[in-house]
Amino acid sequence: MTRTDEELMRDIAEGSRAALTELYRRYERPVYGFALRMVRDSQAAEEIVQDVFTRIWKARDSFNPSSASLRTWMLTIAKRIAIDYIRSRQRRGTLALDSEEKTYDVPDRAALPDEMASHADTSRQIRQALDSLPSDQRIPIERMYYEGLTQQEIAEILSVPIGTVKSRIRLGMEKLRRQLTSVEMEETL
Amino acid sequence: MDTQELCSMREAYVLDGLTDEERRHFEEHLKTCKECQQEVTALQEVADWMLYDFDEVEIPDGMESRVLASVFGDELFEEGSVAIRSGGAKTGSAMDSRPAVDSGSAMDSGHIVRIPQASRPSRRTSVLRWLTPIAASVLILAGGSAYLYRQSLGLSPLRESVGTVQAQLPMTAVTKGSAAVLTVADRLSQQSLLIRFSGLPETKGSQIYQVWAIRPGQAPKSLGVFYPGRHGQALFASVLPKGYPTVAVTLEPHAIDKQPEGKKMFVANLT
Repeated sequence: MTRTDEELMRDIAEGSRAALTELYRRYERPVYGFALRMVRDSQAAEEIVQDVFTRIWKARDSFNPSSASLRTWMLTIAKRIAIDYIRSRQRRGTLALDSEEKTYDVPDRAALPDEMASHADTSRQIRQALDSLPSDQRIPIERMYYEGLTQQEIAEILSVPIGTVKSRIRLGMEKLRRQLTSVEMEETL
Repeated sequence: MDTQELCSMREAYVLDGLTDEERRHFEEHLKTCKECQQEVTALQEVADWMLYDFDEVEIPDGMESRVLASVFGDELFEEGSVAIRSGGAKTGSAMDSRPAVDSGSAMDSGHIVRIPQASRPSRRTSVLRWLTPIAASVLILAGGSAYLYRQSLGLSPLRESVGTVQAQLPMTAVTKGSAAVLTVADRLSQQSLLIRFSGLPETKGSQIYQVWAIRPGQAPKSLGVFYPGRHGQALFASVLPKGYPTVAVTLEPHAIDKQPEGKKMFVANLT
């Protein structure tokens, strides 16, 4: 019988390596996929996955994902680690700060197994929502969220006042919020 | 900062776009501003939603084995901090560090390989990268470079560059019939140490082989431990710390001893 996330976390808290292994197998793909989306480097993405599960294992006694789902909680950890990595890479000057658009390897959808389909739908909805924003709103949101840039850094890169950055981000987030609300309403109908 | 300015930080707060100082100010403000509390809660949903903007890609071959080995192995290899107990309820061998996925047949011929961080730049200073059976890890020296080929879980072998070979020498063996060849490789700013063993006596009970870096006038520095495979073979790899002219291998009565207590098995002078 498949154990729930809560049951797995309870076993992990008691030191069960088998439970952590099961948790890993359940979430390695999304955590790796997200990490790769952030850092666009497969070795770095693997290290981020390793860090995520190491932190879970080391902090197993104090695990408390509060109200967030376990998946969201793990992705949030992955994001923080990835941001640290990106910032250190920026400090080393290996990431161009002025690149407006980025590309990374996109898998062949036809080769993906069926279980990825539902995630692919979610991902597509989010991507569509982000792409629907005017670029002057989307770019600062993405660079802040996925690259860890501060509002001041974005203002400098885009050569606009910080107040402009704030207002563009505020407008963009408001639109995303409305779209998220409409997606949730569609799903409940 | 005035209240209006603090309230204007809501979006950047949920998007992690504040400096540490700004974040501290905003979080203080958040404790008392009801409007910001409501807005941040709503905006956080959007931020969480954005976590799912990624494609689920195929994961690299052998990643599970490497990640779990590191997760569980770090506990055992935090130098000098963990003693692997023997006997009793907790069966005491470093093989306990093998990830669950590797349990089973790999136990029979397994040994521990510490893969040097010299293979690529890393934030870690010492990491147990993966555990594989001896038959599946091969050190290849070609064109003045060293490569580790590894095969895990029946997947295609992966090649990891260890660096340019700087020196290769036989270690002086104390026990007849056993042999060890030590290779030092350079990559980036680190030196890697790789030792290939053959004819090692089997370990008994809680015994374990341990590799040490030795500098005159200082306590030996543990580089890691390993078990030989079924035929007394092993491949050991580690970062070689700077300024240690001698490498020795001992057969320790207990794993992860802070200081060598067991019989010296091999020694090599690197200078």
